[in-house]
Amino acid sequence: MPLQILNAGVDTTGVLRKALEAALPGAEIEVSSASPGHFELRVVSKVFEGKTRVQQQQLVYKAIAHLMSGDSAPVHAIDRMQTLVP
Amino acid sequence: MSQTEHTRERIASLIEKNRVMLFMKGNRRAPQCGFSARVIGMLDSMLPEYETFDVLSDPEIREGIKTYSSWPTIPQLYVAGEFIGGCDIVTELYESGELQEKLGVPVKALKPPTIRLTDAAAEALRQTGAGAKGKELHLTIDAQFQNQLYLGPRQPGELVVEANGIGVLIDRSSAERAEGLTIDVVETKEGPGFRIENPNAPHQVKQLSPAELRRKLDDQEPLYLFDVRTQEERAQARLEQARLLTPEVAAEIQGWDKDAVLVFHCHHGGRSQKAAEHFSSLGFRNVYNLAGGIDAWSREVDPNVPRY
Repeated sequence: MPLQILNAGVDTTGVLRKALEAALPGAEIEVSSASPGHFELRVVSKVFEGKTRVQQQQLVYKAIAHLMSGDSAPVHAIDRMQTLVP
Repeated sequence: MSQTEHTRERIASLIEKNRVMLFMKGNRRAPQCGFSARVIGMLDSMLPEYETFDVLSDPEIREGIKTYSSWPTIPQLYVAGEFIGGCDIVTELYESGELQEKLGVPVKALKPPTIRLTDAAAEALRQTGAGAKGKELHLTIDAQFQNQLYLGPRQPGELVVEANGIGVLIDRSSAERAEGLTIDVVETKEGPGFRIENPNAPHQVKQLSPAELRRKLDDQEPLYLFDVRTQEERAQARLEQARLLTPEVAAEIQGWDKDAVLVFHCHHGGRSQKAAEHFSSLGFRNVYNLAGGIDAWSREVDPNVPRY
């Protein structure tokens, strides 16, 4: 596997949070990172109501797609995602 | 029509024309990623036919499907136009029987496997508190026959197998791989540990260095060499003795004697390892991967083969 050099000093956790806040207003968002490029998300939002888990996760992925595309994307993978209705 | 629009339409048409449509890496006969292989394993157990699309052969669809589904990873499964999910969700739905329902196939009655726990293993497990409510013992076996034992609450869809007085919880896909398995305790340098012996585990894929492959070819040892790369890569650099592993060729191999010597190569050795593991899991006993791929071959054995 090619070693990915990630831009040091860029606060990807913060960028992720901002992207989620913009797409899911009023959501409660927790972002953590276990290793560079790998993140865990916990998102609580009313928007998820009545949706299947796949649809909920699709909403999250859609909000952060621009951070995950391309070979040098700052977000390599979401290792764990929890989507909850308040 | 813009490029993206064109891609969208191609994807939409694939999903519309095929009731069960899997976007994956590799193809049904030769998946080139562990996650794709797992989904194939589940679909194969339920359906005689379904459609797959190899995203490695088409960068436009590979990127396009991620946007189309709002899903960043491959594989992706669609049933009757509905996005079902990736490997994890497909596995969950398969375990719970919901996927079978969506596909309109019956949930196969599963015969609980026979699992043997040695007295020492049973005793060691009891000392960990295994079996108490919420601390049930779970056994999982993945498609590569990597085992895991852990304690935790019972999950939906799990079977309970009684072994030496201890209930072992096992999910459907693992249960299909567990018949005749033995759990024992052995002493190691790091202290005692559990050892699982599974008679169903396939033979390992062996690594072959370029020099070793060269010697085998020079000695005319009976072997079949396959190139699992794309047609385009093959046009850039090729090993003359290798046959392109098309779906038709892969289907043909399945009918061969399981003692046939199969050697797989790709660019660097990753994709061919997956293909080799797939044939190994089908019961082939002499499966090799060319370590480092055609790139290593060119560096170590034959500089006339171009590098790319």
